[in-house]
Amino acid sequence: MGKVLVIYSLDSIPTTISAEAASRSIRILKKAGHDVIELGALKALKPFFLISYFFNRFDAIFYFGHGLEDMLPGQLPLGLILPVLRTGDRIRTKVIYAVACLSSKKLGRFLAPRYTRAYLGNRDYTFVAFPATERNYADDFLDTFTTPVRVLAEGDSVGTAFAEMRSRMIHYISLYERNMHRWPNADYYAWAMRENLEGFELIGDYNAKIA
Amino acid sequence: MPILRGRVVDRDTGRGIAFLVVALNGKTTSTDPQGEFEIFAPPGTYTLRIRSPFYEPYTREIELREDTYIEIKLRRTIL
Repeated sequence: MGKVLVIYSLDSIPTTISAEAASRSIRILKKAGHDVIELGALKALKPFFLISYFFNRFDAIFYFGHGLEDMLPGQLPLGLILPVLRTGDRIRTKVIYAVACLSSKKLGRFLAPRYTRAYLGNRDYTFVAFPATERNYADDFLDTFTTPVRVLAEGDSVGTAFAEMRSRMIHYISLYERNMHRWPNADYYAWAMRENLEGFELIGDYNAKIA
Repeated sequence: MPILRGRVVDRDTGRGIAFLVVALNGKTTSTDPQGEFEIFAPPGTYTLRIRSPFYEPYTREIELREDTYIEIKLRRTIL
């Protein structure tokens, strides 16, 4: 089984949803027998990351929170000064999965495949979802974005994880489009899920696995 | 003719959100830089819809009999 690091921030309303995705991911990874180290909220900052990184050999890093083109800041506002990861950090691991905005655009391309074998992240904005009266869209978001974690935790490749995630996104887009006449907020969430579908990309080795 | 006035704010910051699309059935307007809007409509029951790429959608049935003011707090959806 692998050793993995899960990093999540909790600094704004959208990060309450991504932190829940992190929490569910931790449960999935532990249940599959992986050794999980967590850096949450105020620990989602560079000094804590460096200590963890230098004392462990991680097979994968999972990040949930805000993102920019050239950094995964972690807990804001301190994360803008002490970002968890930024372009130039030569982080050696097998897989990085970032549920965050924009980070594959520069950071992902810098890391994979040279230092990190595969980087799964978004080159555009990542949209979270909230519960509405007609449907719990947040649950759909959580299902979609924990799917790659589940697939990787079970020992499959990051290529399979990416394909499964896209398949969940297509499923929800189709579901929302079919029910737009009775779910008043489905138009927005179909659009947001499509944006996520079009933005997420896998850079590097599709065959990379965490264990 | 009654007026529906409102202000749309970010739930995190409390600041008004500019340039949101506000639709009351067929009538459409947008919020100003302070997040405020107003729409005139004959008395009746309407569906109020507010849309923006970066905020959760808002949809609500509203009965407009007289001048009405509402404040709406929206959650940002981008990480």
